[in-house]
Amino acid sequence: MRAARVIVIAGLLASALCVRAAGLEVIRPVTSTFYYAVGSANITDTYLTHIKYGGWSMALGYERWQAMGFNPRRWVMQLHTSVNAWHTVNPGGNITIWHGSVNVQWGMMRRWRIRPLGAYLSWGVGPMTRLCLGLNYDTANGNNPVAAKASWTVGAEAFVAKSLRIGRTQVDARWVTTLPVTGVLFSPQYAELYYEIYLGDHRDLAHWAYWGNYVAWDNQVIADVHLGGTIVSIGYRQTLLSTHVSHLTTRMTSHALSIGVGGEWMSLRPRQEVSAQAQIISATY
Amino acid sequence: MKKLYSAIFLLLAVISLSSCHHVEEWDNDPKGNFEALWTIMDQHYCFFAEKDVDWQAVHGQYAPFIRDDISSRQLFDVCSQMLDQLKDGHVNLASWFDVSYYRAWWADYPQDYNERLIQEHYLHFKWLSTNGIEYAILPQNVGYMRYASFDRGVGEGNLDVALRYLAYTSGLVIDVRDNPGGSLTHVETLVRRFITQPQRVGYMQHKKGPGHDDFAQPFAYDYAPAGDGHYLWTKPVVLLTNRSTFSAANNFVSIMSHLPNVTIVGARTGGGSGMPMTLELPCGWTVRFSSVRILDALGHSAESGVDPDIAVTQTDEDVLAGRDPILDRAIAELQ
Repeated sequence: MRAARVIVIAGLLASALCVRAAGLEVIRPVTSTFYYAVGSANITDTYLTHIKYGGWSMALGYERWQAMGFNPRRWVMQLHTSVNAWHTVNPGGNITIWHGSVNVQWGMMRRWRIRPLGAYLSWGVGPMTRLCLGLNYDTANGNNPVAAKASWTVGAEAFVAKSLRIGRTQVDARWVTTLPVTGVLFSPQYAELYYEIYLGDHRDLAHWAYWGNYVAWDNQVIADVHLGGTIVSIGYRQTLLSTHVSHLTTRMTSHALSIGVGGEWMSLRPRQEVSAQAQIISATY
Repeated sequence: MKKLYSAIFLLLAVISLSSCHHVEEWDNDPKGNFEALWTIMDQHYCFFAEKDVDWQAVHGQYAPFIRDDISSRQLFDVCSQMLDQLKDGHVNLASWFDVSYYRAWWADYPQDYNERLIQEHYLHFKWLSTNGIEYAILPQNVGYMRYASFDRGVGEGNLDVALRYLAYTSGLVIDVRDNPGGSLTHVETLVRRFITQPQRVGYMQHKKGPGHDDFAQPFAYDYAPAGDGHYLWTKPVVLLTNRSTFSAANNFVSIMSHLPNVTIVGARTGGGSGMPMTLELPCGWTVRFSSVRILDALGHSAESGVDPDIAVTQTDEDVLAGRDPILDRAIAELQ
């Protein structure tokens, strides 16, 4: 473990030194987008009910891409936060489950340029970490109306991106997929009520997450359309969460179309001239 | 590149397989709903052993009544009769046309309480009310406090006002007859006025799996006395109970019964010490049932009720004569 850590740190330092040694001034623009997504949702949460609920999902999110400072050509980072609200009803239409959550995710990816079919693509893969906090609220239940959801995970994130021009308009298309591998998640025990937790029974609430009991897989297919200095982001976002802990199973899926607006901005120092040789290295094209 | 594609394909295959965590599903027809109800109870109900119920045998008894052509009403009736085998007031099946309710736990016993009689013959229609409780000083200089339901929370300030008003009496009667229960947090609020140091009040034991004996180790929980200058009652207390003292009220009596200055007068309480949770059938009906056992400070279950220290009952003749022998006995104990 220690050897692996040393190798990673040494690699990062070497990369940073390479850039400096080349004497290149690099400007790393930030591509940021605020988006709104709406679509369908399904929830099965056996702490609340065994029945599959269906309805709509809505999300407000913020995405930020930037090449990383230590080796901007090869490494990019992405910050993605979202606030989610789902409204689902049972097949009988008489009971509602609301879902609310906040997700924060950060990942850094090594990127390559490839030319698989005569066209240049860039793709990347790397580690990510994600914090999810939320709850499912069942309007019919008495002492078990809420199932809290909390997890902190680490895993992998990957993207494939392609810049193209449609007429005079630049379009950056990308598919981003995220897959937590391990971490910790919160779950009450099988028939444990939150009143017991309130009284201080904190036994066995935190669980090690692995693919056997925790699968969360998100995919986004996004097209950033550059309209002057503004980016209009159009896309499809899919989320999947499936957990099985303490004999309790949760399955949550959503499919949503998103539209967002954003821009690309650069951080420059007012009293420092920008060299004519300065290079602009974007994370998204 | 082929290796990359192979790796991606393998990864997606692994994810697809592992994402299929099983959820037991039932058809939304009479048989599916019956089986869902039976299975939910089989996996979650916490008193099979204590009540000595053979749930598998109950299935065999009622499943033959389920046919594809029975009406919703008939299905509801069969399911309700099956649930009645548990003899538990916390078990209810709720549909859009009815809610099942096992009533024999109180209907087969004397009521031992008449609200109008007390208001007329003991309080003479003069009492004070504060959020959730009614109280008065009886002519024998005994305090009387009526807490009708723990659904309603009484505030700390309300309790201060009431207990200070009653402070110069010789003792306090707390009447929780016909109290159907409510929130345990309201029980805690009240109990904290009658203890002067942190007190072990009981244990909770939830199910940690679907097996009948899959219980977690009991979790001990304590109450602390009300602090911040709130009034603490240290004089003698008599609790009045009847068979309709149920659920959270039953737990209140169970906790108070272990305090040294408390006497219980009346009838055995109705029990219902389990904490209920709710789940759902495919047709949208919901079922409520006990899923967590609450034990008293000695680790004993109060599911079948708490016995009084002094058993007293009220006859029809008492009611006609305007007498409440249970309250009379409590007053005598405190004089």
